Amino acid sequence: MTPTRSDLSTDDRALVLMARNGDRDAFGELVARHQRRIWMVCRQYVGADEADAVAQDSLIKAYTSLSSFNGRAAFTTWLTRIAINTCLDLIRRRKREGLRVVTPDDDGELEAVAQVADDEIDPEGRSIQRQAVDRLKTREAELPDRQREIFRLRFYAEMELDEIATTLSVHIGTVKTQLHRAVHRLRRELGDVR
Amino acid sequence: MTIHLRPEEIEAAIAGLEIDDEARKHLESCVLCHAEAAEFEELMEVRRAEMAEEEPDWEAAKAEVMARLPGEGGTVSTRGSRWSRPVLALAAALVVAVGIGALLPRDPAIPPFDDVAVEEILAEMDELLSDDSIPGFELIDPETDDLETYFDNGAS
Repeated sequence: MTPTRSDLSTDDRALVLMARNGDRDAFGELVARHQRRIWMVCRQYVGADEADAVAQDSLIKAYTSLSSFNGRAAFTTWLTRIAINTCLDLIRRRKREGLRVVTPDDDGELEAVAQVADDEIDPEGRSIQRQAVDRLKTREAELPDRQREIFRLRFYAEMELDEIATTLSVHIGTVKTQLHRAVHRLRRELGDVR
Repeated sequence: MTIHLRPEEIEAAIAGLEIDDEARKHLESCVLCHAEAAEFEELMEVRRAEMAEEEPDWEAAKAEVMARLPGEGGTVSTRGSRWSRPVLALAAALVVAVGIGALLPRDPAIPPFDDVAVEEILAEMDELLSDDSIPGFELIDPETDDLETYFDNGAS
């Protein structure tokens, strides 16, 4: 039976097939499913200000390249790879132009403090936690490039380990090692604020 | 005496890596070890919450993407397509350069191949190599004309 968009169990591959056959709404469903993840990935590379535009570009590139999606990897992995390439293209272009991409680490202090912190922590505790979060941001930005990339894809884009490995074309052992080192380093360096 | 998890086990658990069953059970039941892992996870939760505040309106974002899709009156204007302009410019410049090069007269100062002192250059090279041999190779006897015989006689 031909899958329909209303069927929640319709998987990405079926939607890709439908989109390839000209069903724009099927692609719309794919956008709805994956745009947040793609935005979150882009945010880790180019910062919040650029993430909207780069995520949009990535989704449109995916649409125009649907015929090249061979289904060997999951659609979301393929899409994430496109997003990362689009981010790297932007970063390279900005470097050539002598401009700087505002990275996620220096786009200004955010006033937002999570509700979970407000509800559960007293003012003094909140202040200590705020310091720890600020320190975490600084230390995270100082991680080696590959460690930072893997750490962010794992913790912010919430990608699975094997998915990170496939997307970055690295061995899963590398992902595990780099992730472990990143957590170790951050915990060690956060130690003195607790 | 309770043996708590080692830091690397706690870090593995935080990172979502495999830890053995015994360590996992301990992490679930030990207040101290659980708190240590939870402390880092809470900081990450705060970071994620900060990022969530920056997220766009997803319905509007989707509508923008759909409006930019090619076909049905949509136009594609991805940033990625901008690369084609400099590449086309470079290709055009190459065509012009090759065309101009073909029209220019050849430089008569460059000697024809026959005039190059090949023998002298080879002799210099042989002299150089005899002083500085390459490990794993040996010089071919310059007096040998018949290479097949040379190799058949045991040269490597």
